[in-house]
Amino acid sequence: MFAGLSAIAATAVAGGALPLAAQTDDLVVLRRYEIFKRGTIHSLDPATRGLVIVWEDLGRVKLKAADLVTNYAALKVGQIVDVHWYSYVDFMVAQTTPAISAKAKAWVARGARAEGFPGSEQQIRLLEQSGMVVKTDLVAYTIDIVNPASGEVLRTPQILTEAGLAALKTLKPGDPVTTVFSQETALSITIIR
Amino acid sequence: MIKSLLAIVAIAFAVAACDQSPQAASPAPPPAPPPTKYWMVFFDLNSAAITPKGAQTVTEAATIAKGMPNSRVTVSGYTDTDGPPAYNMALSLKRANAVKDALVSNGVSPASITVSGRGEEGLLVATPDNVKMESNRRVQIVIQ
Repeated sequence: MFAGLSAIAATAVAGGALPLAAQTDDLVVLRRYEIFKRGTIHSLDPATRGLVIVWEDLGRVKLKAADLVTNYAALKVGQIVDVHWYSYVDFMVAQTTPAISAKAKAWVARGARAEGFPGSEQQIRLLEQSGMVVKTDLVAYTIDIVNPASGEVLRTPQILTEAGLAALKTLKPGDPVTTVFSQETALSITIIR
Repeated sequence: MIKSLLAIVAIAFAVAACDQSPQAASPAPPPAPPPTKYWMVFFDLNSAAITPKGAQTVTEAATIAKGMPNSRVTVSGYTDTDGPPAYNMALSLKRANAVKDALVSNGVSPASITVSGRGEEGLLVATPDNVKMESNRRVQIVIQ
């Protein structure tokens, strides 16, 4: 599902200095991480501008339509569509500290923006996942994190950014970790038939 | 003559079997693996009593298990390295059974639950012997 991604500039490195984009809090999902695919609309949720697309190679993916998707109201289940979209992108992978927690919450509250789309008012939503590291997977580039509130263990989306991978390598089971990922977001949808 | 006839019949059967073999050699693709969800319940030192927070975790896991048709629940108990290994093996099983009982109290069928005690095996956080470590005192609930 996340194979089309490569990296993002704003990932915070565990124990290290933040990259420039993060230091300036300019949270941008870079254009080079954009994915273009043809798929079929499986379902729509107009209340949240959500949609589920079935891709031939990736299967079912749940997306949020950014405000740039001006034809959202014309979309119907079963339509074949061409979609420009972003999969999950890691913005922060870091050992939890009070400063990191505060920064993660501020970022989530603010959201990110898509590079090259100055007309976009709706930010790309950011999601925080934090807790204790249960397992790191250096092949799949994921972290299993136990949620301290619920006890549930959740796996992060795949981390592929240079900074995110560097942080991943420093983590070990038992470490407190904070991660921030951008939500899967559609930027434009063209109805084919 | 009879041998020749038997040979012809045998060849005919072999050819017929070959005709059928391609159909038999194209089985349906394997079904997708069932979704797996898992939780961790942590314990106080030398205790198999479920804490209020642990009880919430068990309730959440039970709700998910009941909502998944034909779900299979695996409950594995663990300890830290504090204390003798044999004692810890028994303690880990006691913890796992406490969680199983709580799952059953929350409506999960006991027949769907498998319980095991792993003692000091499978430490979440690697430590030397005789180290008290809360992260290692746990029961893992896996639902498939």
